[in-house]
Amino acid sequence: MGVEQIETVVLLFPNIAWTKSQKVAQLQPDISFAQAVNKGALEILSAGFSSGHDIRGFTYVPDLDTKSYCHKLSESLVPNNVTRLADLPRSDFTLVAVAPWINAECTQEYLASARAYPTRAFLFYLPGNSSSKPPHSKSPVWNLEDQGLWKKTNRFSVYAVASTTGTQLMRQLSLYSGNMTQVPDGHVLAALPGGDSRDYVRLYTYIHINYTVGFQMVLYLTIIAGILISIICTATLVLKLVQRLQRSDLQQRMARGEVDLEALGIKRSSIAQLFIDSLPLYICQGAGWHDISKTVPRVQPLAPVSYLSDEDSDDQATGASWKPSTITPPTIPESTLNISPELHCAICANAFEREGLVRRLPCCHTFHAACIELSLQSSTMCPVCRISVLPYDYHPKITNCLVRRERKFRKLQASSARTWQEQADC
Amino acid sequence: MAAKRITREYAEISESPPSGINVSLDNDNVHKWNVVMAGPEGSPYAGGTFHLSLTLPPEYPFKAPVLSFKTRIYHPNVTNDEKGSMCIGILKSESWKPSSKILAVLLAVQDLLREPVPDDALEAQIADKFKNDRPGFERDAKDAVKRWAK
Ligand SMILES: [Zn+2]
Ligand SMILES: [Zn+2]
Repeated sequence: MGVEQIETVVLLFPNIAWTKSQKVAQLQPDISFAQAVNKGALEILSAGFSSGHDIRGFTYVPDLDTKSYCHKLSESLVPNNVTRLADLPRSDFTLVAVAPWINAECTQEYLASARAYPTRAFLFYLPGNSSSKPPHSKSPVWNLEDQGLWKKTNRFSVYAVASTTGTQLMRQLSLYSGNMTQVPDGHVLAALPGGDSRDYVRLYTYIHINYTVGFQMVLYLTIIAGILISIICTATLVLKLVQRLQRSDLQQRMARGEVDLEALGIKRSSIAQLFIDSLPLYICQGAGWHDISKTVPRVQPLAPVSYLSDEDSDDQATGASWKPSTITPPTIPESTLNISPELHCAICANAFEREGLVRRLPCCHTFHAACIELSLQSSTMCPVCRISVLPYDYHPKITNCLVRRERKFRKLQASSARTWQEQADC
Repeated sequence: MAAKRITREYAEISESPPSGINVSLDNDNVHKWNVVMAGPEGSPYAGGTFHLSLTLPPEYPFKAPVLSFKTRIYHPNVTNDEKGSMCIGILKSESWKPSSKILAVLLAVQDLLREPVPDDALEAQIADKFKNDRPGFERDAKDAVKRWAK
């Protein structure tokens, strides 16, 4: 950030004591004064606490104590009638001070005077120096012998301009300090439409600050923000993708019946009960199996579903079959029954007793109702052929939370299996 | 239900034990079986006597039993240490079915002694030797039988 230009112009400023609506006008250079100091012809002695924005204010020369030695020294350099604070409108306008750099002591006095008012910048020049450029800011002539403390005590920026520039400013400040009729071309100005001879005509200084570095900073920050946003977006996308894959994986494993749903907070007992209720329920008796479930079996038998033990055969022979009146007729015609007397429940290894309740899974494997209910608590697969009991259209809503819980459960299960077995698991 | 089924299975096996297999209960605990298996004839383990421990989890038959060799054995699918953990397909959690029987498990172990499965090995070195140097493997296995399984 640097100063691009210091521009001083003449402003026609309404005297608010007389008018209300008149606007501030910058006078054309042909009937007034205008000066521009480019960055090559100025030195920044102290950046102050400037916010990086343009600095502007009425140009003036700070007052020194009239009894002070510095006041005496400055008399030959500062015309008596330069614009002083007293010559400016009485208000809180920002100010830009101008003064000759006589010596360290007098500069300190000028700075102290400027601090008392809303001064935003101070322009110094070395009197009697004919160079078109002020000495470099590191030059010892700008040393105030206070270890640079002055740069901290003065919030405003301090610039050095060439001697000729400063002297010219000083002269113009003496020309534009009185009322309108006294300033150069005052009669022309007073004759301008809306002009009033009681208006102020004063020098006004703009210090144009270069924003390039600031712009680069903004660009830099924008790029960083852009990178951050794209990283976040990518990470989110990847996360979403991973979660989606995990969900579909869980769904597939669920479909294969490998997932313990109850551990995931899905009430397996209710699910199991739901499926169990949908499974054909039979009563084992002499004549075969009677479906007593309310639902008609969806799957037509592909394998033998009726089994008779030897005793059952006897019962059949004696015609002593147990037949409650409420029982529905067998859903499977007796002609298709394939009687296999030595069949046992694959879970408990016991025979199917007469009058016992049995259930048939969609794969046509049959178990004691109690046994298969127990089995379905830990697995949704058929205990014999490992075909899933879940209907094809059964898909519990799989959420990321469910995926997490399932993974956590599997870890827990794996570690508990290890401790329980105290051996390497296969 | 578990105890009833185990008792039934135990009765079946002890009444008509398969050749080369003997079972007994550990302290009358139906969940802990002691198995004595003779090395199958025609295998490098012939002539050896192997003691195994079979543990049936409380969730049996919904969870697979756990089987381990108490007698040290030189075999690709059994860890060559005092634990004698073993890897056998039927007991893997993804292939275990509640309808699987202990008898089938024991017969599977016998099969494993007859024909190791080097692709599913717990002892990679033994598996390598089995695959690449069969005579050397058989010699080592026989030596191990003499040392540990007599
Ligand atoms: Zn049963
Ligand atoms: Zn089935």
